[in-house]
Amino acid sequence: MNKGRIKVALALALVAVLAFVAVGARKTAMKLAQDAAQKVYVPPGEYDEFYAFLSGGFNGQIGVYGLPSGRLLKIIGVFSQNPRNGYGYNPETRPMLMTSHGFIPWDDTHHPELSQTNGVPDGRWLFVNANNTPRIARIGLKYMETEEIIEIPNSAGNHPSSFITENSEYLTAGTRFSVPIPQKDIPIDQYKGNFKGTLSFISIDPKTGKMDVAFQILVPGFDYDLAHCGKGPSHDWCFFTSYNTEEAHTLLEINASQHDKDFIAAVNWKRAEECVKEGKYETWHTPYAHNWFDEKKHMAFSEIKKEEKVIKPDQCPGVVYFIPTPKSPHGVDVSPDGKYILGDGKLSATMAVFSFDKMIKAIKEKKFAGDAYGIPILDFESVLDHYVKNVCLGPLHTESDGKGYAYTSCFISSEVVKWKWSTGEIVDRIPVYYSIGHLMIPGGDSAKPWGKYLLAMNKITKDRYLPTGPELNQSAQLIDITGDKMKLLLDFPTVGEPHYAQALPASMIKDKQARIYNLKENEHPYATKSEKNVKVVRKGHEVHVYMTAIRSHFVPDNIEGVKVGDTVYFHVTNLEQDWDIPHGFAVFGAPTSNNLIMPGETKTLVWKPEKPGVYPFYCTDFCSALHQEMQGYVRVSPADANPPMIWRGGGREGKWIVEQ
Amino acid sequence: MRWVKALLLAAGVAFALGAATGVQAAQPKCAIQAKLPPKGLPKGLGPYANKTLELSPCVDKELAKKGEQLFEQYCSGCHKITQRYVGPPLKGVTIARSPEWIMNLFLNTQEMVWNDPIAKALLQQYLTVMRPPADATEKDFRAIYEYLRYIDATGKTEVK
Repeated sequence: MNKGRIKVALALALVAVLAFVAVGARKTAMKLAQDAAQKVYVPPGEYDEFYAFLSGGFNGQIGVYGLPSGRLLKIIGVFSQNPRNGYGYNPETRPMLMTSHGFIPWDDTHHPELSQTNGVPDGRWLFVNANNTPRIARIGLKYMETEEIIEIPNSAGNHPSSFITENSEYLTAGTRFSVPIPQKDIPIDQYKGNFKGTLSFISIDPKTGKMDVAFQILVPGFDYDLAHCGKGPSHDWCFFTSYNTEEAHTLLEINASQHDKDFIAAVNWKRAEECVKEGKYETWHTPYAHNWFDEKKHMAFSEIKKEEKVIKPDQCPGVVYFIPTPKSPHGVDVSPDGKYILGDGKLSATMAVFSFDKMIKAIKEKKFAGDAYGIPILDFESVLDHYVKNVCLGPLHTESDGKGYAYTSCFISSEVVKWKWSTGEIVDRIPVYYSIGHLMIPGGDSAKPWGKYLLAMNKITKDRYLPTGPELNQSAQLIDITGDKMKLLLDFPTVGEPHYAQALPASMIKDKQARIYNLKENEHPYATKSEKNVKVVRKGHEVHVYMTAIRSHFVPDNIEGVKVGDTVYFHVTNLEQDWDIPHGFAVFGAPTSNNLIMPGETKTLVWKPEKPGVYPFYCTDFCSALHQEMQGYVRVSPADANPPMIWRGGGREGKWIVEQ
Repeated sequence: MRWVKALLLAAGVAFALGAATGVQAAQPKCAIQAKLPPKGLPKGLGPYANKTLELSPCVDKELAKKGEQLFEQYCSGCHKITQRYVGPPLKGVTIARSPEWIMNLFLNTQEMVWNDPIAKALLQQYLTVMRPPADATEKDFRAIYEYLRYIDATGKTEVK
């Protein structure tokens, strides 16, 4: 053999080896992908294991997803109008979006929280906060619709909300943006000492779920960021993180990052209850809206309330203490056994784990390191149990798996870190794409997590999906946490910007889902329960059309007699009584959304026609083979005309009823 | 005294039996004589496929009255009695179809329109799948059936 041949032979051998290695690596990658695919694959016709409720951030809704598949099951309109079904557009639901500032068609949903019994999600209700105009909403899990919204008075930037106590006694609310409380016109540079915060407790009626502002605690003007309440031994307490203890009012990025430590406010809500009972509070009169949906009347109502109980900590000693916490902490999380309280110190690579027992001891022994506006600051070392050292960059939030481990999301280093609650020992890390905010384990902030999956809700999507111009949907990633090593299973895009999420086993609520609104129980004042009862009523310039919809016709489908200057109310009742036969209703030129009307439901579309002509209306939901035929006409005559007032439809015809 | 008790018991049983057979024997004349369908009609698919729905030769007026209300509430948006509407006119349906077939259509609609030859042919003609109310019970459907029987027996749509 000459040298040339040897070289060729060696080169060929090398290529063969490399090819073999490459094929091997590809096979391994494919095997991993197949394993992951199998774990998230839900075959056609079968169901997901968990319902997950993700907030929609600036889109103002709740998204209901199935896990592990990541299927989007439903969008629930909460603080934002939902053109899909008319929520917040039609007169039945517009009162849900009333506030003391008037009608607001938008907000920013952040932290969903399931109702709990004995510290465990019980499948009754889901709550979520509005960050911009402070509010909390309650969503019923039978109809999966928003049933109640309460505004939080004396507040701004309702971010540490809506976290729940162990037996759903209260939900938390608080001021991320301190403001003059009560509001007044003062120069912004007089922030220090003049701006205040409130930490509010919203009571929940155990039978009906109805919410009320129970009491508000007036606190110094820091930025109260997140919260979680205790369980087990720490049952009586809720914990709120704060940043900007510097009380900066401009360029907070720098000016609010000066202190090495900010505070966790530890609130003893049982003590607050005592003070309320003993009359140690002030009654204030800041107006706030309370809105609720009457399931039988298919209609929302709104009232303005004007009385709240405000507790000043110096009049109720023992109600609140500050725990120094490194540094500008974001999340505050409690271990499932209620023994540890963690401050996720956003700007610190080391997190402090506090002991509840030590906190109680420090309070008893008065181990204080001064006070802030009269509120005792506990001695850091006396409350500290241990550190989680060099956890990551930008730790934000922590959830638990119920097996002694905690999982912390890290925004800056873009990873999830698994560590041991009792020692702070780090046992695993996994990168996420990209820049995770909240994470969620089903029941992961409760006493008994279902520790099978972890959902990372990432803030930055970049190149994860096919590009869609500059604006991209946010990205969630599902991680298997059943083994020693975390395993990435699935990417899926989410609607809006999910901040936090909650999940529970599907079996807990699947069979309780309503399928229809029972027509017999429909108490809508304008319901039409049979085609026999269809009518058109004129009351001055108001025209009320009592209309029915069933596959595939409206009765009436011809309406004549409307004049410019009239306001027409189309009260459409869907007569169907079987699952999943909605009908839609839209009128040409009406400046509002369509209504999507569920079986047995009544909804109203309001229209003020401005020009004479003949206007079609139609069913917007493809309901049957003859859906295209499901249409009708309204004739609009000039204001001074005298058209016949008649209707036709369903083989019937009639004259309008004219009431004075 | 034990024999007294035994005698009383025996007498009681005999009386009960007598009363029961008595009712059957002395069938009262029907206030409304039903028009029964011929025997041997197809039963369709579903819970009544292998069952017989025993029909009284008399129309149960009270049940038909209840059925009339339910029909108004649940069926009238799609069915008229003598005219085609969304679905077929219903006059004569209780004579043309077996009671089992009608109950199966109520209780097992999707399978019926997929696989039963008569229901399939009706769907081809009317192009809309019947969707009986989700919350109605078998008793409710039986009442609606009795109302249809009343119509076929009397030619009237109002139960009086």
